[in-house]
Amino acid sequence: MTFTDLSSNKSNSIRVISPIPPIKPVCIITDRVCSSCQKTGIITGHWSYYSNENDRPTPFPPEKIVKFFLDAPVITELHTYYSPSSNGFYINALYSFNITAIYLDQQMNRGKIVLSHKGEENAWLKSPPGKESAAEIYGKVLSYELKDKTVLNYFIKVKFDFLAIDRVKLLVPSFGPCPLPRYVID
Amino acid sequence: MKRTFSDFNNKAYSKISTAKLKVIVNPVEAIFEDAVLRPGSTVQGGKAITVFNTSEISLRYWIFADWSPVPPTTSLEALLAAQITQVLIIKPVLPPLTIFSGSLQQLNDIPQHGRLLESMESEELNFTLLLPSSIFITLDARLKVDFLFVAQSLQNV
Repeated sequence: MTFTDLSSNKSNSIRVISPIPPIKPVCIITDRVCSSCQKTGIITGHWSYYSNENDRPTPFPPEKIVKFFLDAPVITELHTYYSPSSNGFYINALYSFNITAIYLDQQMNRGKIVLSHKGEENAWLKSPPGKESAAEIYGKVLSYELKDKTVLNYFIKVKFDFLAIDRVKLLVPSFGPCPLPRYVID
Repeated sequence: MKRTFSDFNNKAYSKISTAKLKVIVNPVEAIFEDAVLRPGSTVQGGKAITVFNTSEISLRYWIFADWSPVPPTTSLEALLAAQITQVLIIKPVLPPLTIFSGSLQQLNDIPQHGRLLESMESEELNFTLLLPSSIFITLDARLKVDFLFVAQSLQNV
C-alpha cells in the first residue's frame, strides 16, 4: 500500500513580454546602390598658382618636372541630400591630398613645390525602390593616377567610391533574424 | 435439494497498513510575484523552496507546474508563454545539482524517478525563470503558476 500527499507553493504570478516595447528590432539593410556609386574625376592644377614658404620658388619658371609625388587622396567631408521626389541621393564629397613636384627651372636650378590640394566631387545616386529615406553614405578614394603633367599643368585622375547605407526601420516586429546585407552592383 | 454454488479460498488474505505521509513546502506563498520576463531576462525566486518530509517513512516526491492564464491572457497565449518560459530548479549544494532545466510546460512529473527524502529529511530548491533572448513571437501573457510537490511513500508499507 502506498500513501501520497501533496503540498504546493501557490499563486506565483508571471508576466511574459516579448518583444520589449517599443517594437524592436530595427533591421539595417546595407545596399550598394549602383555602379554610379563610383565617380571618376580629373583634377587639373596649375603650378604657378601655388607657392610655398618653405620651398621658395627658383628664380626662373619651371622647365622640366623631374619627380612627382602624389599622396593618397582622402575624403575629408561628405554631405548627402535625399530627394524623395526623385528617390535619390545627391552626394557632395570634399577631398584633399598633397602633391610634391621636383622640377628644374629654365636655368637648370632645382626647385620643389609642395601643394595641398583640396577639391570637391559630386555624385547622384539613385536609391533602391521602396527604401526609406534615412541613409548614411560613406566615401573613399578607390584609385588615383597621374595622367599627365606639363610645365604648366598637371592632370590627376581620381576614382571615388560611394557606399550608400540605407537604414530601414521596420514598423512591425521582425520575426526572425534581420535580412543579410545585400550588395546590388549593376 | 438445491445448492448454491459457492467457493471458498482460505489462502486469501488482506494486509492493512497505516502510515502517515506528510510533505510540506516552505514557503507556501508565491516566490514569484509579478515576475516580468522579457527576452534575455532572468528572474530568481524570492526565496528558496524547502521540501520537508515530516513523515516517519521515506518518500519520493515529484514536481509539477500547474499554470493557468490570468485574464485577459487567452489559453493560447498562456500555452505559448509556458512553452517559451524556461525553468531552472537547482539544489544549492557543492557542486550545484540541477534538478530540472526546461520549459514551464515541461515541468510535469519531474524528476523522472522522483526525489528521495528520508524521514524527517528536507532539501532546499532554488527556482529561476528565464526567457531566451532569441524569442521571435509577440506576446504579453500573464500566468498564475502553482508549484506542486506530490509525495509518495517509498515502498509498500
